[in-house]
Amino acid sequence: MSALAILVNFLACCGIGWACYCRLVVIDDTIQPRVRWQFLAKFAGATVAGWVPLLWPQHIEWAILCLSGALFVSMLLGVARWRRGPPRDTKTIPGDLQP
Amino acid sequence: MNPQQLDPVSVTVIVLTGVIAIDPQLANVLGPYAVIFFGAMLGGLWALSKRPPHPTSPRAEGLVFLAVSVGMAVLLTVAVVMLLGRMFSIEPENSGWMLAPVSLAIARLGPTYFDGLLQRFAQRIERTAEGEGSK
Repeated sequence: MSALAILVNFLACCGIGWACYCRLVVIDDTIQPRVRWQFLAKFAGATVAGWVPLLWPQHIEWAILCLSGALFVSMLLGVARWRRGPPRDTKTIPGDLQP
Repeated sequence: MNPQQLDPVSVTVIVLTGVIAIDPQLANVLGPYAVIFFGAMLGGLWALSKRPPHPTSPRAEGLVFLAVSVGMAVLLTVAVVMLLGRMFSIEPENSGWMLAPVSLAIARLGPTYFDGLLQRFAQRIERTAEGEGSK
């Protein structure tokens, strides 16, 4: 992996980590636990995938495996939500009726 | 110096990995702390996602909470692992696997839990002092 690819990978993983942080910071006890686990799994995967090529370039396969594993776990946690079609919050909200 | 090493990307990678690239022995020392830091980050984020978000500045307040949780875990983990090693007769060389789960647990408990623990400890001392004073 070239230095440029390692740097781009690191910056992309930083972006994923920051996005997960921004979601986790607004999650509280009222949100379904599986949503929390989705973002924690993605954060863990992105952290490993971002740092491992920088620190141990010989273990890049492990880094990629961690990120793909985290994304897989995240998708698995979303299965229940999508079982009966698209979740209600993914649908577009109809506009107000005009008098 | 090889001019190829002076391009910005290589310089950034060298700066990011500089300390470890220069001294592999330092990497052996920093390695456990990287594991502790990773576990503490996950525990801190877990604790952060359990509390209600700050009404005006959730990200800034969350960063402070995360910094305190991670700092606390970094400071306490090694001591707790050594203590657990003594309790369960685990050799110090074989107790490395406990670093990540212990740091995760400490950061997950968070500063709020330790605040409560300190308050209870202070109350107990007060009660003991009052009891001794009344004798």
